[in-house]
Amino acid sequence: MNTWTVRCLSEAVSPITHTSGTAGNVSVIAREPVVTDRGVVFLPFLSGNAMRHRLVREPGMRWLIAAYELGGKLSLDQLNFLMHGGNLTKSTARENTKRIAEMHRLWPLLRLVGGSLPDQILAGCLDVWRGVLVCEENRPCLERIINGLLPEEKLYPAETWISEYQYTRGDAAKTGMAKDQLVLDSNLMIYSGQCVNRGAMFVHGFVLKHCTELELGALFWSLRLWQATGGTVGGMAAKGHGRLKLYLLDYDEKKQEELCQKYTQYALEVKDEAVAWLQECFA
Amino acid sequence: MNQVPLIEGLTPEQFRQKLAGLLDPREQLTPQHRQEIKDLAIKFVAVLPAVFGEGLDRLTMWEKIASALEVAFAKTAGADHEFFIEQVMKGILADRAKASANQQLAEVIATLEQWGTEQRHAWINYFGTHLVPVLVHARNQWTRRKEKSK
Repeated sequence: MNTWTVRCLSEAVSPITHTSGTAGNVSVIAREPVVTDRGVVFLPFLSGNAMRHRLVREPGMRWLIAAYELGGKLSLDQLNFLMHGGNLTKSTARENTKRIAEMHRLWPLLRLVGGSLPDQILAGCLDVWRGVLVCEENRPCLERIINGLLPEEKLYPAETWISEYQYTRGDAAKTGMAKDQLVLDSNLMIYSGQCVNRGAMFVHGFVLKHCTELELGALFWSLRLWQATGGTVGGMAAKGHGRLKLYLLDYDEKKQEELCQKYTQYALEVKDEAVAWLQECFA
Repeated sequence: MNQVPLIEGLTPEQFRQKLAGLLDPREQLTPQHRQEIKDLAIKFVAVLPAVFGEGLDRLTMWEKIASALEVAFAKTAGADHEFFIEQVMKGILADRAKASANQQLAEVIATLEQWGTEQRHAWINYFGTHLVPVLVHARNQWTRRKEKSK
């Protein structure tokens, strides 16, 4: 058992619209207050919640569901447990140590991200850092994460990386094809919002607490699957937003491949036992 | 496995190189350079009323100048100051004869030619980030000059 830290750099290769709500009719990006020597500033960030789901749980679980041929065979509760963490719904919650031990043995990815069975919470052992925008205001935070690698010269301020997009949605009135159309006036809808510009970079990372190399392999395999399927975070991916290009700081490609091989082989070897465990938990 | 590409690893040196692209070029300039950029931006805009197109309505002159600067800034990539100036002149339908004879415009162009690429780039960017303050100063300068010549 070891504790590993995996540090990453993600470069925005399309506008990032990880939003937190709306102001008027404009969607605004998620920002967090940061205390700097010039007072409190609100800087864009990527939430750990989004990173955990999009980068780790979702791609990893989708692969397992396909590899275990579970597509169409799972109940909604089972699917929610695997893909979204599930819910504690029974009043008779309990602590079943054997069940936890079996989960740790059979589902390295679940050991990482945890979840809740109807009658038992299963803690995960993966801490996911927030995505910290590489900008001058974040220097003190970045220095702690990437000690010694930050240039001494001043970085662009955060506002350099924020801009706005505006799109329009058409109206079929212009086609004149609707059978109930009385007037030809089109009702074009304009919608807009803030985004983090292409070229921005985020430093983020993962801490795997007291894990084996199988869990580390599960993490890398999920990250690879996520990148291979577009690597998006936030909204508007259907309109080309949210794409990140991921780089790893501490692991070379050879080690990464070795760990992924180990994990995928193991996951396929324990397929029957893993599926049986899942069915038993939801019996 | 082979169909899923590996995640690219970065050595510390490669990481530093990636971050080098995020350095703010404005911060590489000295306070004196920054003041020169501001002064020259004001001087340039204060020249524009003198060459403003005859066919345009002078009542909306400053609005049209602002718009010409905005469009020129949006069209200019990099540090091509000549292209930027050309776009501004087009935007206000500048009188070419007046422009070519304008001593202050010639001085602006001559100064820009002496500057390095970074400073020229920063000069063009200044219009994108400080347009209204530049207009305020330029308009004051133009008004003072006009009153002096009365």
